[in-house]
Amino acid sequence: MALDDLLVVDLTNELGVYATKMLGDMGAVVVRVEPLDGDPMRRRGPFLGGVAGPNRSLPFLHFNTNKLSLALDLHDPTARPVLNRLLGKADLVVDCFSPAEAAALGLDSESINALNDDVIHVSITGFGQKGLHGNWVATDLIGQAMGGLLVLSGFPDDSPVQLPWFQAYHLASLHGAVGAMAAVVRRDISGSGSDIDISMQDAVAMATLQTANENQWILQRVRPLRLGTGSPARVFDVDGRQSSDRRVVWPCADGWVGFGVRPIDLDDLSAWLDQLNAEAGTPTNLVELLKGADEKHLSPHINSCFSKQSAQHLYHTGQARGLLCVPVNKTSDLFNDAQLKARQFLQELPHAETGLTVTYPGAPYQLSRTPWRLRSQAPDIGEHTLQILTERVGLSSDEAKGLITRGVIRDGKTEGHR
Amino acid sequence: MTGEHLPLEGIRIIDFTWVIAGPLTTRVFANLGADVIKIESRTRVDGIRYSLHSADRSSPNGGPLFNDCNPGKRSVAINLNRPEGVEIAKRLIAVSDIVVDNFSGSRMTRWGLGYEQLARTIPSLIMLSMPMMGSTGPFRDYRGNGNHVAALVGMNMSMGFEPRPPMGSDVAYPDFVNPYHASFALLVALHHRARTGEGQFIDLAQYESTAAVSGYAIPDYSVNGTDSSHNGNLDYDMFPHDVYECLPDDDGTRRWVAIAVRDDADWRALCRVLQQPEWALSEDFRSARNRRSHAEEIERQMRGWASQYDAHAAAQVLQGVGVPAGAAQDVRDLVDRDAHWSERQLDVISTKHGPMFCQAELIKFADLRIPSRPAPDLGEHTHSVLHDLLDLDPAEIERLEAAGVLE
Repeated sequence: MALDDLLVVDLTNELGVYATKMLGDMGAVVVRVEPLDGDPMRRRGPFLGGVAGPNRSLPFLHFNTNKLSLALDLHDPTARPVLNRLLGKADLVVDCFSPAEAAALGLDSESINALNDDVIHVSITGFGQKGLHGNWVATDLIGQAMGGLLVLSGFPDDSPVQLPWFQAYHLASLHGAVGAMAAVVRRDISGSGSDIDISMQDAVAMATLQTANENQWILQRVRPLRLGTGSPARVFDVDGRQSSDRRVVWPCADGWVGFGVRPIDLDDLSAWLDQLNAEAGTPTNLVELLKGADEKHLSPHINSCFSKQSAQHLYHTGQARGLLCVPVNKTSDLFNDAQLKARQFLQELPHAETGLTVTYPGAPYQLSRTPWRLRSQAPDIGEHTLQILTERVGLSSDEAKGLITRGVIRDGKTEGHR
Repeated sequence: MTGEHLPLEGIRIIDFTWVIAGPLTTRVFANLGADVIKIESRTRVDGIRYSLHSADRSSPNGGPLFNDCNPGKRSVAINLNRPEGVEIAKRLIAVSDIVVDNFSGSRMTRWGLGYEQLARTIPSLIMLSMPMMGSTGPFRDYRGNGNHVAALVGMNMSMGFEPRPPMGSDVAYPDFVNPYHASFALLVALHHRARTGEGQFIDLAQYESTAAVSGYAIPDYSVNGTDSSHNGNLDYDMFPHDVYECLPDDDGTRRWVAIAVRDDADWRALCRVLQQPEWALSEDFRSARNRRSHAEEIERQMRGWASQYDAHAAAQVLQGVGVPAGAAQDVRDLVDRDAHWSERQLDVISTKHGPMFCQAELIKFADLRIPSRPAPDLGEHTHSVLHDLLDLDPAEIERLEAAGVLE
């Protein structure tokens, strides 16, 4: 696989766990270092079947596909020589330590570089390694708030509302992963290592670039806030019009469709509505009626037509005419989607402990020669401790077993699955 | 810093993308030193060029949003509907490493610029296409923009407050996820090429790339039957976890502070701030689950507390005792009040259209200074690129211009 020559030491928390998943899913050997009693993420729900357990956390299972586990206490001085040797062999080290945490652990950039002079070290934190807020604590909600994204979702008469599924964490990880791979390519070209600093707040603010660009405030004294239109469309206006009436989501018979009316669509749109109304037994002649009409006058006709049609029918008939119409799906709808099925986007893996089939999101990208692959479920606590210490760190079997006996490390494999 | 090499110097990309998601894919490459050559045309101008104009609204040049999305790239104007234009594009591709496009369907193939066609003569070429649906499948020709993709992946139905319509976000959010999956995939392909000499085709469906950041939603539905729902600002594990209204701005704009109590330690710290010492000690409030059963009481207290403060001051107090909190900032806050962010990220560059502000490259390398550079005017580099890379002499370039090939 594309990245199978890379050894990654994964010291991340929620902010960086998707970054290391991206590397592991493309074949990197990702060693997640977790405490002897397990990564705290294993205690986060929802759980498989609603029953808690270290291998039943759905967040943990999802974000740690294809990774290996080494159970070792970062705070235990007798474990440090082992960790240091692993760090010395790593191609990449990814962590989420604040400046204070890194200093306390002796895992700041300088210390890591001292162990490994061409290592690629990526730090992913709430506010970055430098600056006034370097030691501020942040969860995803705080990241969305401080990055300016939160105020851009929801309705103007409601409070701002978060994007779902931890998007601030995902954005931080995405940029972290891109930084990591840019550093790998840099090393391919020039041989040097890199020290990379990613701030979740910076990553979130990037996502506001179009809807609330800094130039709008500085040069135009405009402070964009949520309009509840579901679209950044207002910034496209060449004639300067505030298009707060340019809605993107419309109700239909069995749910909602996402449908944006563009000026170039008006004739096709009228013809489409006439076709649908004829099918529904309530024929219209909007092609004539709406000739040269303003978009503003379309809403009642769209609403009346859509109310008699299913989301799927609107989707396919609209797209057939080149109109940008999609169903507003729930997660369950993805399981019935013919396009995703044809491309095998959803991937199944039996859960080791229960045998239940778990479906995971699959490849975000299809590379023709080095494809993304779901090779293994997220690991058991310390499942690969012995393997990593003997095969990667170079300890003898006896040395490794001695560490296990003294409780310095934990080997999940010999303990077996619970 | 003289003599300092940017990480991706020496790599060249021929960039056919437009709007937001495509250009943001190559933005990282340009910032990190690659030569990104945009193929544009006056016959189909990227609408983003006209956005946010503070000056001449009819000009495709000098737009601040375009500048923010395309720093440091070069622009060559080619009319790809002319066979000679396609030939020039092919010759540029032949001296490049990567091709990127975000057209739907088989547009590139119809121009003779599909991967299969190009790879015959350039086996080390890396090409990425990023249409909404991908390059295969029964609905591969279906189209939409970022907001459509968000609706498709279930984002709209998984956010917001009941019973409001599922509008989703005013941000075309997938346009800020997909470019980074795309850049990552391109860099992976470059690494594979460094190891083997092989290029490859990257088929990125924006639908799939966005569904890939739905966290555990898909596994949760598959084993637990849990489907999308509108949960506002709540969290599965943490309580309290929400936004609380603070004092309004001087102009009446309503303000909120976001607060997230991760565990009982955060809870005890919060109780001290709320001046509720009994709550900190009480078994009734230990664990998020117990606190949820007292939601009304707790929320009332927190709303009362927050309403007395400016949102930034409230956040400051809580961060001071180690509780995650932050004002729900807008662009004015980021620029005028958030010295931490503006120091890291707000750059001003002087361009020939006047000073413009932009967000710096957020991937910060400790040993490098990454300058922010102006975006190109449409076709600004046609002459220099055709001369320097393809050895076309000025007479030949003039002939092509006169023939309408370079517009």
